[in-house]
Amino acid sequence: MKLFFKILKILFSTIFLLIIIGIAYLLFFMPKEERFKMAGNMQGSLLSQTMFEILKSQYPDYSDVYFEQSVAFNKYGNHARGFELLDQAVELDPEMHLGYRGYMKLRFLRDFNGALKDFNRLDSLTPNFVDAPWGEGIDFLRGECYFGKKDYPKAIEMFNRNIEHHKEDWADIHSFVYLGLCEYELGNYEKAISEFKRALKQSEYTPESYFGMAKVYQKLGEIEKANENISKAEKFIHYKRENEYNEYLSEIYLWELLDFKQQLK
Amino acid sequence: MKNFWNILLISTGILAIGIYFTSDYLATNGIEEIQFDESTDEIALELCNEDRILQYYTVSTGYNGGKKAIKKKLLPIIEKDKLSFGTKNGNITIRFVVNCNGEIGLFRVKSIDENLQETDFAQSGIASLISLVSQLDEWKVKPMKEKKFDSYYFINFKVRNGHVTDIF
Repeated sequence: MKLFFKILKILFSTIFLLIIIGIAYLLFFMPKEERFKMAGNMQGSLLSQTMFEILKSQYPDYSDVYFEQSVAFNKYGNHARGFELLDQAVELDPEMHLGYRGYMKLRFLRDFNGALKDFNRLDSLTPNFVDAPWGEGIDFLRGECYFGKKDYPKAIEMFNRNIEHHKEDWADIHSFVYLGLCEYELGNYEKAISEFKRALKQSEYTPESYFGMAKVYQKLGEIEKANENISKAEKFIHYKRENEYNEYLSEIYLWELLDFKQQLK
Repeated sequence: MKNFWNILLISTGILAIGIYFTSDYLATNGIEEIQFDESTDEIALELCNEDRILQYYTVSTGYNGGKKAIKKKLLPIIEKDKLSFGTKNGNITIRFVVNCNGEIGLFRVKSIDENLQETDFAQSGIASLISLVSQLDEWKVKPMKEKKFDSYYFINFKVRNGHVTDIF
């Protein structure tokens, strides 16, 4: 009986020790890249944040950790903390993180001047290379910043530069939509129509272009054409540009189209 | 020797159980969670699952007509009421819970200045914004596998020279 209890004690002590060693290995000793990935996969949890803190204390120059740690804070609306971490990431490796910080300032905060500052600095650090912050052309994003600032001539310059770089068939279709919107705002209605048509040449399922053209035709007093285009915008509304996190500057909604249609009557 | 095994068993046992439960707590709880606080929350929002409030983007929670509809509804009222924050610049973020029935509550506020540093805006103005947000009543909660979830959502108010200039 004594031997039995002794074996049980040894067995349980070993199991407990293995649990302690296993968790300590996961938190402190596993290769840093694997711990980084694991913490990233548990985004937003206290365990993820604890792992990032441990990684930062062990590798204070590991810039990706500051960047990844910021993601949950910004997605959850704590921008002060999110950008505090992003600032640290940028300080450690500006070339790697400036683009993302600019993207976040534009899309999450609508801080157009702050975003432009980051994009311009990134551009100056990478001569002879066209950057793509978070997968989008840097000139497209700069164009969006100027559009947000209502500086339409400068926005036009940026969207054209983006198209020039990516070529007509490969440029983001919304470069043409934004060009149309900018020309519309400047009162260049014929030019606006030709820009919206460039988008439709790339894809006929672009409700933003039809809505833009409907607005232009209304200004020109061509109500029939305005009606025709607003109907197409309505038909293709489910192809509109949207994402799950936030609203685009040029995003359109069905209720807007229906309100506009009502105005035409 | 007998004591050695007893001490080893007890010490490793306490440590292992402690570490296990701490890790479990850290893994199942998150940052920026909102819980009912009777000192600030006027009413408790009824939740479908208090232990699991998701983020709006994982369950496509949104407002009927999007944030543009919220802006269209609130900005004219804010302008009419001449709501002002002196000469301050920055963003005010109001975060809250949309329950599975599309009701909202448990409002929390975070603010940043133009340098993206944490700051405070006048409490009276903040209270007005919360009051306006609380009146929004067209929330869309999409079922996932025939089940509806509670979720967190937030609205940003951009302030320039003391005035709300954008809502998104």
